[in-house]
Amino acid sequence: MARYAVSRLIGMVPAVLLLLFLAVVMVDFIPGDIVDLMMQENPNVEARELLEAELGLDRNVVVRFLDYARGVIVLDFGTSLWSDTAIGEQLLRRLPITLEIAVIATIIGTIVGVAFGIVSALRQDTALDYVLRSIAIAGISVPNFAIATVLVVMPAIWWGISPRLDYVGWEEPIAHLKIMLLPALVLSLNLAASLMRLTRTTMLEVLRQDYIRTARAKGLAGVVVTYRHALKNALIPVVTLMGLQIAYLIGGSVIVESVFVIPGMGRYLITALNQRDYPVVQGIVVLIGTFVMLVNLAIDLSYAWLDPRIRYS
Amino acid sequence: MQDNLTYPRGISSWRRARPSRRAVLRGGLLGATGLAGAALLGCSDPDETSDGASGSEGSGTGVSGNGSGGGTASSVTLERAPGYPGEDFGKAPVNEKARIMGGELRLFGTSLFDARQNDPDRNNAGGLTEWNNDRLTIPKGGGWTTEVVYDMLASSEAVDETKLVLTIRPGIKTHNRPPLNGRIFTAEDVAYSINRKAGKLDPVAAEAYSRAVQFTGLNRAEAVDDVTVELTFDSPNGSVLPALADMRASMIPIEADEIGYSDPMQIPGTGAWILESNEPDVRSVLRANPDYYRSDEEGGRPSFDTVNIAAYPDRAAQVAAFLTGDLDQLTAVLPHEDAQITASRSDALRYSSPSAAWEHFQINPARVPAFQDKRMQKALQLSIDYAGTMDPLSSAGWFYSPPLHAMYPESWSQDQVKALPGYNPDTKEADIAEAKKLAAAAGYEDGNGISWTNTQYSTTSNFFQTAVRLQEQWSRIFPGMSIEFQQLPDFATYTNVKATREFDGTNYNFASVPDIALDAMTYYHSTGTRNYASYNEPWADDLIEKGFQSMDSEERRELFGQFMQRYVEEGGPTIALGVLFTDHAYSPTVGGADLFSGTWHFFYGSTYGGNARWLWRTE
Repeated sequence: MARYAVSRLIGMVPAVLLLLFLAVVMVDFIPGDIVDLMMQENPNVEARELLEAELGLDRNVVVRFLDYARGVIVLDFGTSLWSDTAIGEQLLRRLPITLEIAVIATIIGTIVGVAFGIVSALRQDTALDYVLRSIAIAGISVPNFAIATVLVVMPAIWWGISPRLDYVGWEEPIAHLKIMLLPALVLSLNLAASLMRLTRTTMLEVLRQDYIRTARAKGLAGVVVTYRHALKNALIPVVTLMGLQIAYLIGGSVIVESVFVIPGMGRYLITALNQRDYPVVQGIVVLIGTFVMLVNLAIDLSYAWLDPRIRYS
Repeated sequence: MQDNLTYPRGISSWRRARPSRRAVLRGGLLGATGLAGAALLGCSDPDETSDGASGSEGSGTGVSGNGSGGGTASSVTLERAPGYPGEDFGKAPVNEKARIMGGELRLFGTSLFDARQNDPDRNNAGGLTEWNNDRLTIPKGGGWTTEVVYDMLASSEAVDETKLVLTIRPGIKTHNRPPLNGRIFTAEDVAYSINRKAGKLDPVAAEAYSRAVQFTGLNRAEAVDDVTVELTFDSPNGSVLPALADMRASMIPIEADEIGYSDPMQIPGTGAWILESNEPDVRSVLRANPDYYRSDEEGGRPSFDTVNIAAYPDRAAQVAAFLTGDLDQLTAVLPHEDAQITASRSDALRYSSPSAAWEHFQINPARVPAFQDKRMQKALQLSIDYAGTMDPLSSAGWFYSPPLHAMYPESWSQDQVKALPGYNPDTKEADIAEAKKLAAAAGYEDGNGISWTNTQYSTTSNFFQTAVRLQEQWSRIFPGMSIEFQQLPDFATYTNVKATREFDGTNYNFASVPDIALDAMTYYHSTGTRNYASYNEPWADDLIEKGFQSMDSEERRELFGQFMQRYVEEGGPTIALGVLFTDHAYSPTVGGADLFSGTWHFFYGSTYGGNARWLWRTE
């Protein structure tokens, strides 16, 4: 497995380089322009050219790519065009916050989704099954920004209370967890709903397999059959889905972090996009892209643990 | 010195009688004539009001105190721009409850104190300098006028048409922290700041500051002694004092450029607030400057110990935080939020006033040949149902506006506008008939042969709503005209389309500055930085330039009256639709907002919130 992991990591290099190139090139394709924003639509050509040069936007794409790649190799993501601060420092400060929400959301989403999926499969076509499936469909259908907005605004209107929105770090652990829990819950809804539906489907399929029937015929307890024999086999597609959902979770954090006023990567990204702060957008895209690749590698490696028949060569 | 030469805003020596603090704070609002307060705030020199040209007319107009006291808030009839008819100018409740010194004011921001915005001459809005630094003049608070009053200035004297002498208050100190350590802010700093804004230090860089035009004609600013600065002009500039009241016109110490603007904690200033901590995207805390140059008696000195600005980028979060009492202020309340505030925080103090922004429709004749014909431009202006377009946009109301914001003393009043063809609801049918005739005469009967696209960037904005209503109106009046919509992804894209003039038509609003000539230069002069429709008429340039150079309010009124008259009669590519009222909500334990509430509220500083140095905590 180690050789496989190393070969996959080496294989990621061209993918990361392509990611870097796309991150640099996309700047030319994003409509709108930071220069217009900074100059407040002032059409003065000379001043515009001066500003473009000052911001380094007058260089051709190859030069920009080489400069950028050289910087990223030594973990230098450049400087924000608006705040003049090192992007690497900002990413370092914000990435743990976003990851924290994503991890909490993943834990909640996985526990709830898998558990409900199992219950739904075991109680197929009962009232409980219908209720859980309906909830899952709602969880998939309603966008998390709508849920987040409702959770923030409606209690304030009805009862004069609202989730705490003034972010504090781990220096106040209880307050911090209170602040992080609700956005993580919102973010976990879609994951839980998707996992619930998939777990139900795969469980139903596995539960009809011969070896499950054999296990039952042997007189094994229902719990043992379900969790040791059925669930583990049903989880492979579920784990694959979780890997795919990581990218969704990071994407979902853009809105959730804005609504719940969390100073994470998503918030940083949306601000940078609105301001056309290109180096920041590039840095976040590269970081998230690389992270998703690594998560998918981890997911691939986990298959062997879930199903010993799988061998890497 | 020529005694008869005055600047149009009526600024004169403000070292006058010292009324009580309350009277001072009320400024021009209280008292039957408002004279005492107005005098204290640096306007209304009786010598100047007599000629009617000084622009200090506001001191005696439409003022009635509320005098309610007793711990309840109540409305006052606010001072209005001279000659402006009508009575309902919004609300400005006075919080008369006992003041509590100290405490924390809790506001919201979006992205806080970016380096680029911290340079006052590159600041779009919301930069630290609005807190950290001061201006020489500020818009007059507590009124619906466009007067400006002294802030750092002690006096100004127009020696002749090309020489203006500014005297700053002695003893203004920089913040007491390294590297300046509280050194005295001098005329050298003022001269440096003005020369920087006017592009005398770096002409090309100044072009990026779209307000450099405000200093047109300035040859140089020179310090004469520690407190005196002499401005020399190559050509007269009657707008320089209002330009210095622009919220971006902060004065900086000479060392500021050397120190740089990257680290907000290091930026030197003289302002009422000193940045104490700054966590990007979380919060910024500012503490009151203990050495601030203003006294408590004259107002404008911080009462709060600290201001906590939480970075709430999302409107829902802002509203929720205000409703739950976590914020003291909610600016620019939207119609649907009005009901939420009424239901959940009925004790909130609500301030409404005509906005500084005017809604408009703009066509780009360079892209749509049919609109190069003045008759078509006029036909569009005549055919719009202004009430039908504006009524749904604001629960607080709106009023008609001429091409230059109706709140300027030199501009036309709502009633004057409402009586004009096209605007007049009573002559609408005839005006539409005339519009159809003009279109036919131009070769576009029923709008046939005209095809254009209305460019928008948000389907949830007022602008899009207005665009849809105009499309509906014109599709009835000019059935042959094809109007499509272009939906851009965001504001950044929209600014690019405007800057490159790649639009056929659009709805938007322009925020005016407190000076009619500066607005006219910006939007209608052929070299105007926001003249997106590329309007280019020599007669208009001539009138605008004369108005810009004029230092006489009556002459300005005449010149800009002529401009508006001809513009409306001939037709133009930018059609003012009206001015909406804006609505701000404050916690019931915050006092002082009435002191700056009004059309030019947001020019008071801290962008849209009004400068916190005028606010205080109450019981």
